[in-house]
Amino acid sequence: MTRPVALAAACLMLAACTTTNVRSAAGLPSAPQRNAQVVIAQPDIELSVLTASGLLEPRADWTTSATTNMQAAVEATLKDRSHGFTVLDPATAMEGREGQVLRLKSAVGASILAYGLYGAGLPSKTGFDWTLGEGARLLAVKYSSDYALFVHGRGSFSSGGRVAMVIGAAALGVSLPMGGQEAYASLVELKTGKVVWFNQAVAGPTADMRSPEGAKLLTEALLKDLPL
Amino acid sequence: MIVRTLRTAAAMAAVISLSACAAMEAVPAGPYVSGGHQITVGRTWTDMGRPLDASSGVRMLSIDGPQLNRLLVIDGLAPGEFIIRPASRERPTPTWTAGLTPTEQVEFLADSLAAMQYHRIETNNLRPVKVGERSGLRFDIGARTVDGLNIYGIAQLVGAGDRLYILLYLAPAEHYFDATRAEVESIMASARVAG
Repeated sequence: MTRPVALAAACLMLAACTTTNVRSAAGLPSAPQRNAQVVIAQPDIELSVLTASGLLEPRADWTTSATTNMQAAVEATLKDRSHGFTVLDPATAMEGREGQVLRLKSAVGASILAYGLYGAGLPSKTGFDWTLGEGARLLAVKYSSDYALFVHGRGSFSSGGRVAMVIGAAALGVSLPMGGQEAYASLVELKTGKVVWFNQAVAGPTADMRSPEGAKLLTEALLKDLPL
Repeated sequence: MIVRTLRTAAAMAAVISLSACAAMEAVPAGPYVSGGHQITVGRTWTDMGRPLDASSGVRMLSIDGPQLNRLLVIDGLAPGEFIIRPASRERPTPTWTAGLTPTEQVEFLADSLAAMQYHRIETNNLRPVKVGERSGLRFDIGARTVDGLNIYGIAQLVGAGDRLYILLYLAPAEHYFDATRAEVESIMASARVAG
């Protein structure tokens, strides 16, 4: 195989795979106790169409399908691992201090994505050290759980007009974004508030959250190193 | 090659808008100088540089990332200067005017927070402080992000000539504000300004 062909083949193979980037807190036991109870937040998913002009237009039908599919896939994963779980619906839990803890979780997750996964990170932080603080104990008491698992996903799919624009731009040697899907999952130890495990997955083309099969593939990659 | 882009939720978009063009640098315990504004920090912070939507005299320090804690060190604003750069000419942001009363100075800061997309801004516990030999103001802040996360803060303002030097600390009310409050108050007590 010539070198350019081999390079192109390698690129295509990488683009077809879901890639992940996992981080764990130092000192984490190899696995929590066998009967650890886990509260699963309903996945926070939003899917959009990427228009020709580069705008994102949320699609409620895609979002609903993806949320349902990812929820089912996450629950199936935990069932397979013999852990008891309850489900937290953020839509009904966003009031009071519980709502603040859940919103803080989003801010912590965004910070981990920005500064905790790639490169040298923040010089003011050593190791993987992120927390929701003492408020996490509220969730432990309310849901009788030891851990909380949060899944967050965003994705966009190109409109027909966008695809045409990408092809036209490519002919001129200009590369434009086509959209894609990514998700992250975080496991929080509720008695300490500590984020003990975090993984980000960038979906390959077969891991489309809008279908149950695609959501299963993405969830398998996302949770494959989950220490439960 | 398919180009993958990082499409972010509103929270990530806020992180990016708060990020600076410059590389992040460690600020070890000890003195930190930004223009005519000097502070002493008691632990390592990260200098995030100038936020993209801020004026040139603003530096942002953080420990866990701007959404979890941020200390804005603002060099002397001259009359007519803003903290937050307007997104368009039709939507100006608050600008500093010399000679404002303490209440008006607090309003200037509160209006600037509104320009930074905070909601339900409240200021209270206004108290005089000494910044070196100069007299300044310090007050507490409560606000909420667009996502509904409650934020607490402390601001310190001191005038030198017709310029205003500001230290502004903001962090989620849940855990993060209290976790660094003592350090921030120590930093504010250490501040010195030129002029």
